[in-house]
Amino acid sequence: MMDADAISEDFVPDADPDVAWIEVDGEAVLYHEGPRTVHVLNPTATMIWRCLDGSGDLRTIASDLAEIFEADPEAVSADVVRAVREMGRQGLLVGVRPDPGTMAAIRIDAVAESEFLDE
Amino acid sequence: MSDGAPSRPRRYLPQRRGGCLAERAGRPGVINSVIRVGDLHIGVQTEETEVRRAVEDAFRTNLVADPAAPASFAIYRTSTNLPDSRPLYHLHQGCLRIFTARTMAHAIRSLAAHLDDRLPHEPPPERSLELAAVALVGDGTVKLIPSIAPLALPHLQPWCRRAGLKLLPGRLVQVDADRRELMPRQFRTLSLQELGEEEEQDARGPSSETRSCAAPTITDWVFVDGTSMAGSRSISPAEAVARSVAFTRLSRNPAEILALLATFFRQVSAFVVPRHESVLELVEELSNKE
Repeated sequence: MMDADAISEDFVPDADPDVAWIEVDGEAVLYHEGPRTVHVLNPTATMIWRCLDGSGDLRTIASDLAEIFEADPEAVSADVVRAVREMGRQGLLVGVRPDPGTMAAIRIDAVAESEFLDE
Repeated sequence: MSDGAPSRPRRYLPQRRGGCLAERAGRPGVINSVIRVGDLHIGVQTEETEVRRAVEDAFRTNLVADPAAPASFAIYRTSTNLPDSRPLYHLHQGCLRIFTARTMAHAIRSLAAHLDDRLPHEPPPERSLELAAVALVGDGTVKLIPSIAPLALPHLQPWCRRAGLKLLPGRLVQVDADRRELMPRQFRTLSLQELGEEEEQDARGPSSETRSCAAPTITDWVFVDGTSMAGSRSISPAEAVARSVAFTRLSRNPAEILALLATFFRQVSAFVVPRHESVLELVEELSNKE
């Protein structure tokens, strides 16, 4: 298990299989079954998320995205590493230790329980 | 009435909302009818004979004799001295008034909704979602409000009536995600599903002449977010899906539920409002647009 800050271009990211997700108008909504958290990714992060299948490192993913968007590869690479580190902190990646101090996701336990059980 | 079969397990609801009903219990005419809901024995306090008869008739197959059961709910009738005024029926849970109806049948349905919520869960039909939300129905359309506090309901209800909207009893609704329709609710604790013509008239509301028999269509979803410092705003389908997960019963595969929510919010407008009062303002604005 590694820290999210240690993620570099050589890292091969793999999305946690406990994360169910759907894309709605270019934005991904992620539901993490274990901690019962929900995340919304912006369109750019959604593009990156789609690539996290455990088969390519971040350098390759960034290179592909830079080609698609005709953007500066170095800038794209920096953005990809930053986004994937954040996903790691949120506990969304296999092998990356979540960082509870930075968890920004919507935790749904308290709301759901109070709404469904009012005793 | 059955005797509650002494060997069967029984539980009582915790009395967490004050002792108002216990204080009334000793008064002349105040009776506690006890309804069996699963292994719960739930006392329903009434004062008027007519109300008590209606309650006991409506729940007759689930009535038990249990003098030890505390009253958790109460239905009381109030009336004014004004000419032609109709009585109002108030449903209380402990010290909290949770619903007011113009007909006894409507109050009983509200009680049934609260009792049904305590039965073991049954998964909703395929392609449907079960949501913790208050439904405002008017003229064949529905506005859903998931995060309304129970304390805000008595405040919301008179406003709904004036606006021509009917507040459906209970806080759980089932929706057909594909057709964005509110599904009719069958109460499991009620022995009588049909509670009389009076209720039907009430349910039709002020626009009865123009309403069809079709299931009402859900047009808007309003989230109350007390932490939001911004004013009311429209939100994207993705944000709506994310926010609504908290109010959705995840009784099936989460991926399937997410897909249903996405289908639903591609057709339904979603808003965030910063406080309960803003619900009224927004719904009024939306109603005027229609």
